[in-house]
Amino acid sequence: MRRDFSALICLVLLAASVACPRPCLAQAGDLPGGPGEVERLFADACDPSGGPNSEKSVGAKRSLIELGPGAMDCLVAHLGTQDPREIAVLEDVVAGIGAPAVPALAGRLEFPDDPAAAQAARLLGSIGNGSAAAVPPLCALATSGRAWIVRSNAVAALGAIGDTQACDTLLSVLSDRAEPVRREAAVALGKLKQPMCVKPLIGALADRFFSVRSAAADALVSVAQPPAEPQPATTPVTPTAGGGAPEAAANPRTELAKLLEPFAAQGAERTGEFSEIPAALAVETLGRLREPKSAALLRKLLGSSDWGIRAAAAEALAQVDSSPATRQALQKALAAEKHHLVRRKLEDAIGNFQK
Amino acid sequence: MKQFARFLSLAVLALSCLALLFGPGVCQEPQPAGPYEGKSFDECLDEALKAIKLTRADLEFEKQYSDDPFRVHAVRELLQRPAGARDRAESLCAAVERFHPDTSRLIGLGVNETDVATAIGEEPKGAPTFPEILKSVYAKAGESLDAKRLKKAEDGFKSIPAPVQNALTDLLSLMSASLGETIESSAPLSAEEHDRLVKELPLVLEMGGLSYETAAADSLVKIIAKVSRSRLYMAATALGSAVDAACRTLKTLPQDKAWGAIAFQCDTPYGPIIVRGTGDDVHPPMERTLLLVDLGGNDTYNCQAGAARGKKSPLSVLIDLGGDDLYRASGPFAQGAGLLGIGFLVDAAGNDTYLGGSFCQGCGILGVGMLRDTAGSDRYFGDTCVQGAGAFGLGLMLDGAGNDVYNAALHSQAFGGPGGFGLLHDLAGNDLYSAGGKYLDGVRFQDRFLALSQGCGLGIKPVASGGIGLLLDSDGNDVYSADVFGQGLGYWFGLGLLVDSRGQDTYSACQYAQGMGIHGGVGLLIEGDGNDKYNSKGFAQGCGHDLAIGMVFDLKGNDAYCSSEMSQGVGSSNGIGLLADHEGHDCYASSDDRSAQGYGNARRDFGSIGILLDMSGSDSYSSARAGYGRNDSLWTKAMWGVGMDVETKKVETGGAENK
Repeated sequence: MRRDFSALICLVLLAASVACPRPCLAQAGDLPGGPGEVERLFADACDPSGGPNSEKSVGAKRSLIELGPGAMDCLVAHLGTQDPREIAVLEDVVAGIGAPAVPALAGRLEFPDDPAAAQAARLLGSIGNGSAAAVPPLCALATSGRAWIVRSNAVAALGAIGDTQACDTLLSVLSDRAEPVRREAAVALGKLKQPMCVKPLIGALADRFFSVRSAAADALVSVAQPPAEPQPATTPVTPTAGGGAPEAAANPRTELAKLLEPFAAQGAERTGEFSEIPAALAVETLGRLREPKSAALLRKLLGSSDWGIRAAAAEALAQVDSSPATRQALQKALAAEKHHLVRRKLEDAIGNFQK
Repeated sequence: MKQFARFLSLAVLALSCLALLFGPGVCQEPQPAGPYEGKSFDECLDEALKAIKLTRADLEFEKQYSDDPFRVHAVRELLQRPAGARDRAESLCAAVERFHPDTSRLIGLGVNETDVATAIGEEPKGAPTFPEILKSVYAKAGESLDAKRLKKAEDGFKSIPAPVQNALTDLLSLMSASLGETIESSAPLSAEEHDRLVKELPLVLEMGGLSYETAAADSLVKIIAKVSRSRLYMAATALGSAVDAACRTLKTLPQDKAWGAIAFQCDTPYGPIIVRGTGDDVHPPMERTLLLVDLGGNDTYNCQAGAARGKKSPLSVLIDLGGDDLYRASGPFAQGAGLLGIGFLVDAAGNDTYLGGSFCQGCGILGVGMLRDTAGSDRYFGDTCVQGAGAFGLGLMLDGAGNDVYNAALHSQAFGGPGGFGLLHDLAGNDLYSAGGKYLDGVRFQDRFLALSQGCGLGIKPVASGGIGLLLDSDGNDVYSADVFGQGLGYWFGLGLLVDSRGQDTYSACQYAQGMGIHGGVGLLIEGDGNDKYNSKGFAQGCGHDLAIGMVFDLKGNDAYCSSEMSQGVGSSNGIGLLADHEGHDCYASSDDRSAQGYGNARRDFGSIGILLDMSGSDSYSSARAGYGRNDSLWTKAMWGVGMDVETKKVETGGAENK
């Protein structure tokens, strides 16, 4: 009975194949959404003759977006291209498809030494929190990619997605050997706004490169600001120290103040890794937090023996406090100050009071 | 009353004596040393950087976001260590000045800078005779010379005075060896690939500079990689020595009446060998010549001698020993040019005029080209890739004494295309350099023209990093005029250097010029002595844009810098810009106070670094009206711009005479 039934199915299929002529194998790719059509559309979208905004190119991109994930299966073959036109088309198409493009892109993250992985990571980042499913492979890529550009793109994507699952990875790559990776990590941590990141970010203020220091300072300011709206997709990470009890959430202002106290005291200008230049950046960051509680410390820093710190303190004071005590401190400092730049910053700060 | 008068006169006398004893030099307190007196450039730079919370190490942030096989080590080094840029450039210039006019050593310098490994070639064994050389040249083309023609050539050669014969035999012997190496260097190419390179490579470089970012360039680059530049350069080095030696010998030979009548010519498969005497000769149009030696007279060259182009003409040498000559090219590749070959032109004396099209006057495109004019006030006119232009090859242009005029349109006057080294070295004289005026920019301006010249390293984005373009003018009051892109410009990982050692010089350009780096490039302008004037619209005078470095160092003189915006020590899109003026009373003028005189803007989540450093003199700044630049002052602008005006020299009383 079963054999008869199978034979019947075979007959029906054979009859159907004769009755409904299908394209041969060579033509199969030209079916709507098939590899042949995707390639043709991609070539049209990249066609340099009319430019990226030509009707042909825009139409081809629109068609690729309509094909959705089906197009992605073919388009991932172009990842790793150096051609600027192809890169631009891939970016436009992926942005148009959005989250459905994620599985195909995430599949290319498995090979950390492949230039395609770097590009896939960047495209996943451009989708934003729609790429949350790709966070685990991106975390793996962020630490295992041999080329820094691969790790850096993965880290940037994690920041753009904004999922707190990535926090531990981002903290670990804050000490990556390559400067761009550390910078992207600091930027990403600023987007995640997790209090557990405060101390590592303060440590990053002493990084060798200004790009990392500056990103860390921006991130600290970002962490101190409450999010504009609740983020439903992620939950705050509970900080743990060696798997033990949760630490108290660190506050950027108090942590920066702790770091800077020794610079306010005569004869103790250095603490640990912090020299005067990162300390001046810490002073500037304290000013950007705009918390009047910092005024007392900043007034003390006006007496620092380092002119860079004094200049930063004058600038910061103007942002955090407008009390008579601060005004008096600024005027007193100006009377005693000899350094060009510090005098200028003090004059500007006093000028702000007059305004 | 009398007593009072006597007392008064005594008092005056006493005061006068005291004044004499304790005159100004003794009476006045010595001026206290200023806080920056005696400080070095590095110390001042550190101070300026501290004002924006940076250190010198911060300049070393990662800038190489892509890589390719043509990136030269100098660019890698400078992107990693920008603070060493001036030292690096000056050591390169010192080498050029030391080696000038030694052709082989200058070629060696270019080879070394473009990272092509070469070995020392073997010298030909024995001392072949002229017929033996001729037979070997024919053999290299797979042809043979019948006895009758050989005898005729031998007899003709014997008619040349013996000392000249000997010098030419030595030269031809080495030319024959170099010919073999040159042919072998492109042997891995198929006939189709060879023809494609000969046809399309010049087109790529002629297409108006930046517009050749195409897939076609990518496929050409893959074919280029098959050519053994190592063998080509070995051949050029050996040939350079031979040409120099022949010139030295011929110049020292006592000329006699017999020289006037010399007229020798014999054919070879690679063009004729021609020797002419001291008369005023007119050399007719000829597509190719192997060797043309003219012993003197005011000559006219209507031929392409001294230019090599592919397998039909892989080697060509032209030597003119004297006279005021006119060189007139009838097409591309002439007057010291090489494409898949080596072309040299040496003019030993006289006030000469060179009228060329494209690819001439010291141009090497996947080859080596050299034009050396030893003396006289000369005039050079050309179009694209002229006057020291190298792309995938070496182009050398050397000019000795005299007031010279250089005129070109595009990719010229020390242009280093991908993997190339372009050198223009002018030893002395008041010279005029102008570039542009033919190929409309179109993208940025509808009424300005591309120049990409005067010390320009240009890459093909994103296919191949740029090479090195070095314009070195050692002396004289010079005028430099370029339109868009030039005057110490590095684009797409290229290195452009314009170094003028002495004289009162004037620089004018439209945009992207005067110590400008773009897209990973490094552009430097170094000015030695003299009161100089710099004029440009914007993105100039020490400006680095997009992970690039642009720097100006002016070492002495009272200078005037004039621009509209994004100039005078500006970093843009994570670039580094520095304008460092070491001495003199200077004037800095810009129509946009915010984006000039120490300015940086933010991109990619971090900033750019722009530094203006004036280390001496009484200076004036247009940005003073916005509260920035002032004499003896330090000012900052956000992310990360800084200006610093200090006095590192001892302040002398008596005022500023030249102010």
